Amino acid sequence: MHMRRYLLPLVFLLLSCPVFSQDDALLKQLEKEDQADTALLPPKVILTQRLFWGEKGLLRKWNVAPLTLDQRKKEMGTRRFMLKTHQVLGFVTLGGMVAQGIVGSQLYKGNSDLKDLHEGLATGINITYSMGALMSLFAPPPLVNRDKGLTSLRLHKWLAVVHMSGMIATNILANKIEDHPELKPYHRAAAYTTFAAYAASVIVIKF
Amino acid sequence: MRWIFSVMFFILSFGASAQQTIKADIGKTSVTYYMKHALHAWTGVSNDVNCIVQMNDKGDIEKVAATAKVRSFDSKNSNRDSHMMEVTDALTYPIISFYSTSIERNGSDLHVKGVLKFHGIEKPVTMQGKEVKNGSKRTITGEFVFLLEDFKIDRPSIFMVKTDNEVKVSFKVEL
Repeated sequence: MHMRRYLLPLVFLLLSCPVFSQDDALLKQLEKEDQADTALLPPKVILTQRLFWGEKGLLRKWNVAPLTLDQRKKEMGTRRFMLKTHQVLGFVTLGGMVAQGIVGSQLYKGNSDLKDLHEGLATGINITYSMGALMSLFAPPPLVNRDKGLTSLRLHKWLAVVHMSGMIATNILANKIEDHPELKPYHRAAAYTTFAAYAASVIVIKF
Repeated sequence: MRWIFSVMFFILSFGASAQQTIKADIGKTSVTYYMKHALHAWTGVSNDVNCIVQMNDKGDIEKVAATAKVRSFDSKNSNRDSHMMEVTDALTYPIISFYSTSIERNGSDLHVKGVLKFHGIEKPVTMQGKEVKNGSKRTITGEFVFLLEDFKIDRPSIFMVKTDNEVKVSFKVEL
């Protein structure tokens, strides 16, 4: 009689176990096998990011940002903030370039009253452009970096090389125009090339 | 006392013989997600999917479980994949998992209910599938839809515009 009291719950338990726990049991079987990839940094990191955030980067050496899981989680927030700022500054710079194109063309037509505005816009564009570039170049590295061949991001980076060279050339030529007015067409050509490459780099980038 | 053990042995051995578990062929099993943004749409594919199914004594699938690493989804754009890993907090929740709670069969059509665990949150999902048998091989394909915000995932954005909340997922499992 004493034994029978336990028999029914025991049989019920045995029958119900597979029904209620089998799904989890299947999943648990898989989860045991799944080795989470714990790589904190991608194998390839661009030089400017590696300098600060690489495995042997300055921030790691100085123990400001030790390479740990928690630190990388924080870095993802920093990276997102920097890349969003990069986007905003990119649009501001592009708007400035459009305005500069209009002002510059008027200046070429002989409207010398616009010279100060032209120079002021140039200063503004240089500031937003440089800050935007820094936000991208020195952001913490992504979690993965496996692009091969032509991708929108690679195209964005290659166009950045073109517009950065164009920005430098435009600024150097601008400083020489005072003494060498014959350089004006080259200054304008460099500025237009910069604008074209910059606008294209904005268009090609996709989430 | 002896007959109690006989009953237990019978119950346990019956359960063991009626069920067979099979691991899916990892190289031929994949999960693809489809997402949209105002500017464009894209897909991300994972070929690193771990899947196991349980068959009944008739050889019909009665349970399934699957896992995939968030990191393994490749959309052919590392910046986007990294961004997805950020919003899904893949360092804390590196695995997406699914297990079925019921599978209804109508010919080769399957109606699967189960639980999807993503971003540390479990939600019930329902999916439609199709099973095609080819000799000893069988292929199961299907799809389902879920909402990012159901899993408390902050939708990624580009140019201040967020992606669509809805994500379509398709899968192919080869046994």
